[in-house]
Amino acid sequence: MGPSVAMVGGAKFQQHVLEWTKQSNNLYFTVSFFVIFVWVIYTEKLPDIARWQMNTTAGRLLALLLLYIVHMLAGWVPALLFAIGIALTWANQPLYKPIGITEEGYNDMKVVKAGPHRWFVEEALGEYPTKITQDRVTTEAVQEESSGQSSRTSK
Amino acid sequence: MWADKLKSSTHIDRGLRLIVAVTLAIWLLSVGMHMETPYPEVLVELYALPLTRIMLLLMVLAAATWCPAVGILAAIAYVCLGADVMFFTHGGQNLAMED
Repeated sequence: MGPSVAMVGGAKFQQHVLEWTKQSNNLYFTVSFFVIFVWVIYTEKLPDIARWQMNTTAGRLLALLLLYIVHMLAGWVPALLFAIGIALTWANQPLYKPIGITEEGYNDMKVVKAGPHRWFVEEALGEYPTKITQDRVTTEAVQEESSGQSSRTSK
Repeated sequence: MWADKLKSSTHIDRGLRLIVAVTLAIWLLSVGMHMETPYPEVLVELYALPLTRIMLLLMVLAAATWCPAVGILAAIAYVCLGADVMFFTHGGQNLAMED
């Protein structure tokens, strides 16, 4: 650090800011601390797949490595916060491996514009439909996931 | 050693650290000796609020800054509470449905 230079107005403040960021990684540590804090508060909001991946062997090893790095860089209080986050994430592991978002049925329903003439029921009930949803859809039977022997459903 | 930090220069501070540490240890023992911890209903309802979690976490961090031993005990208590509450409000329901 060189000798402080006398400055006036905003330049002095700018110098202080520059010194603050240069002297240490306070800014990065503060942001990281805030991110970890939010993670701990909203642990259960993490996506299932992320919580599942953090509970695999690789995920656990990576988390412990990160914990060590946090402890080395930022001290033991941020490390304690990080440890709380890891523990809560591990405690909230999904019971079953997430298999992704499955598409629901009835995805091929078409919507067409309603014609000028209304049905009797629509006239009687005072309805003025603007669109009509097609009632014919393609569905599939429930498939068994196991590739082994198929079990009997009836005797 | 972090456990040595329970020792303090003043008698009052040392006594306070000891009291809080023993209280937290008793709380952890009582929590750990139940299969289904009977947390106070108010505490469970308050835990759903983010503000409560923020305040609890700030208290844990303050305790860790004050005394490492107390901080660790408070952190364990926070994790136990969080894990139990979240399990019985999310995972436990799924587990019950599968059975």
